[in-house]
Amino acid sequence: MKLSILAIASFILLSGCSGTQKPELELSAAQSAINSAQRAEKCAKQIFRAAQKIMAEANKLAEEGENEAAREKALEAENLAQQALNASPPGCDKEPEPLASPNPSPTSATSGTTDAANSMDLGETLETIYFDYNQSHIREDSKSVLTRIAEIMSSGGNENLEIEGHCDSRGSTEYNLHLGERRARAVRKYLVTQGVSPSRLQIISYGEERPIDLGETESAHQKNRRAELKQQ
Amino acid sequence: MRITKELAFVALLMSPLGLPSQPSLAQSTPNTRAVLEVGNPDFRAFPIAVAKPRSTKGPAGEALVTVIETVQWDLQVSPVFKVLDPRSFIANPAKEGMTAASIKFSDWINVGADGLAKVAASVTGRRLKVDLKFFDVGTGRELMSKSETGKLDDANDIGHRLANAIIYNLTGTKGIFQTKIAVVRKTKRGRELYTMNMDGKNVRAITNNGSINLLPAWSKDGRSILFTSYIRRNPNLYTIPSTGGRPKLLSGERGLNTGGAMSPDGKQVALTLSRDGNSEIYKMNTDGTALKRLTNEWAIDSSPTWSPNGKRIAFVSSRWGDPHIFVMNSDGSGVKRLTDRGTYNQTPDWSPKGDLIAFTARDERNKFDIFTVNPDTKEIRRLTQDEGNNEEPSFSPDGNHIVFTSRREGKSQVWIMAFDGTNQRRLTKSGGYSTPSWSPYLR
Repeated sequence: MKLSILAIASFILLSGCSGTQKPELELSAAQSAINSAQRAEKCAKQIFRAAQKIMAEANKLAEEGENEAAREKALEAENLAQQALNASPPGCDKEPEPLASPNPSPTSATSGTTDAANSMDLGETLETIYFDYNQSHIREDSKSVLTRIAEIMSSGGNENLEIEGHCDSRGSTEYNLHLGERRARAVRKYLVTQGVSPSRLQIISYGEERPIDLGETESAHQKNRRAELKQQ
Repeated sequence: MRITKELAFVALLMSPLGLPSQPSLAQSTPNTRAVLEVGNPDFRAFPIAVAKPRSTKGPAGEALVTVIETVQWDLQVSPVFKVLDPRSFIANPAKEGMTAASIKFSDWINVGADGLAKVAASVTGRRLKVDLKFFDVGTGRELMSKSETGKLDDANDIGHRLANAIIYNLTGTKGIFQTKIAVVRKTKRGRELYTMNMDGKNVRAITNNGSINLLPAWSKDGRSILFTSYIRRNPNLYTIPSTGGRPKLLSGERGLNTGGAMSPDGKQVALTLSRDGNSEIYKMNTDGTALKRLTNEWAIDSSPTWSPNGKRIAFVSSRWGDPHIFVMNSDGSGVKRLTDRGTYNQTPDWSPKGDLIAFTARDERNKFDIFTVNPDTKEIRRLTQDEGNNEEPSFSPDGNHIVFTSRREGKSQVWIMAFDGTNQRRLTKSGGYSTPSWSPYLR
């Protein structure tokens, strides 16, 4: 999420003075990001394929001389490749170890120390959307992210998404369960308006019970006020 | 020897002590018992001494220490008594027995005691027997004698039984010391339900399924606990025996099934469901039939709590923007807003006495504290302040006490206080607790 915002923001900032040169740096950076995310082909199939697809579009646009658009696509492809890699812990593409394995390999590298590391986790988190305090409306900065998810879902594959709603630790257990569900519902509603079939979108709320950050600072609260989009 | 209540009253009536302005045992006769009721303007806490153990050695001595500590703790929680500090006592425990003749009452008058409790314990095999005698210090009369037996591990329970007996003998009201508190605690794998005695002792795991188990609420007979759990992935409402066992599904509607609250007659359950695309309050029979929707708002409506006569339900609604406490008739009609102060009012719990609803509010400094509101006059009273965040109140079955969570010492722990915010006491020794629920009278 942060990466994608940064990527989009830096694109907007740079595009004003980038001229019409062929975006070779961006293209090669994107290609190498895709190359180093190979294991995501098995573990985060949907998002990895989207990265490949957008990379192909970037190359095509560059050949056609549409340098501005090509640069945008290359940045997006690089960002998606990075996300796919993030969603693919080392070894995830290997066959599961036999049961007798004396040293079970550690689980998810990204969330091993938080409450979110729970046996109930389904798939990897594709995207996280953040919310304002006690609010469930989709923030402006999240709309482009959700629009892209909707595009990916519409452009191929038939995987379903589960949208998990979460809250920060303030407020009561029960109210936060309902607030979390409103957040998940708001994300689903937005994706549906972007053309995703509601039948592919499940929602569930965990309220304040599965925080990403156990701190009590404003920055911790912001990290916890979220909806996680997970592949089902 | 076992003195009947009638005999005790005779002793009380004959007592030469007890000035009208100073309530003493002599006033706890049927006619003047009202003085020992909290809220009576003439009320004054009754000074009582629980004598030190004669011996603290061996299994009997250790059990005796536990019993005495429990009785002292309980009587301190009771608004009726002021328990004197044993360090001030001048009587020699080694020289005093359990009979009036062996007690030097002047030693107890001199430390300010009006009442004296003496406790002795004996152990036979693994069986513990505890004797209690209660004396009017002024007259030296024995007012009460009670024996309790149990396993050696039951010293805490026996202490609670004896404290209940003292309360009942002196005030005619039922003690709350054999009640329990159900609570959620964070574990490595998730959230599990626990119960503890009302003094925080005897903690027992009720669930151990590694899932997320939330929002415990007692059934009216105290035999089971309603709760929301993710054991089958969807947050459904279940009941589980209050001693642990197999959860039984009560409501498995798609989406959230939370905040199950049993009606005072034990026949219905109010709950919050999101099955219709929004969080609304419903009620149903305890077997899950006759589901009826009570609210219909775009906002979050949740956390129902019944009035003791079952005619009204208070709840949380964000229909005016921020969450506030509302009340409605139990058929969903006549909705009224109760709180017009604060911006974030949640977790209402209706006192079994009927006169107050306790709730959590966030104040202007963004601290959470516990308040009460009178459901008829809407008068609001603050119970906690300047002590970290205090949340999620639940009334004791006599309506005189409230259990809640507090972060005043860092982690979220379980505390109790009187209904007016006085006499705050911590029950737990570690953190991670949430949503305590006080049981009804048990056994």
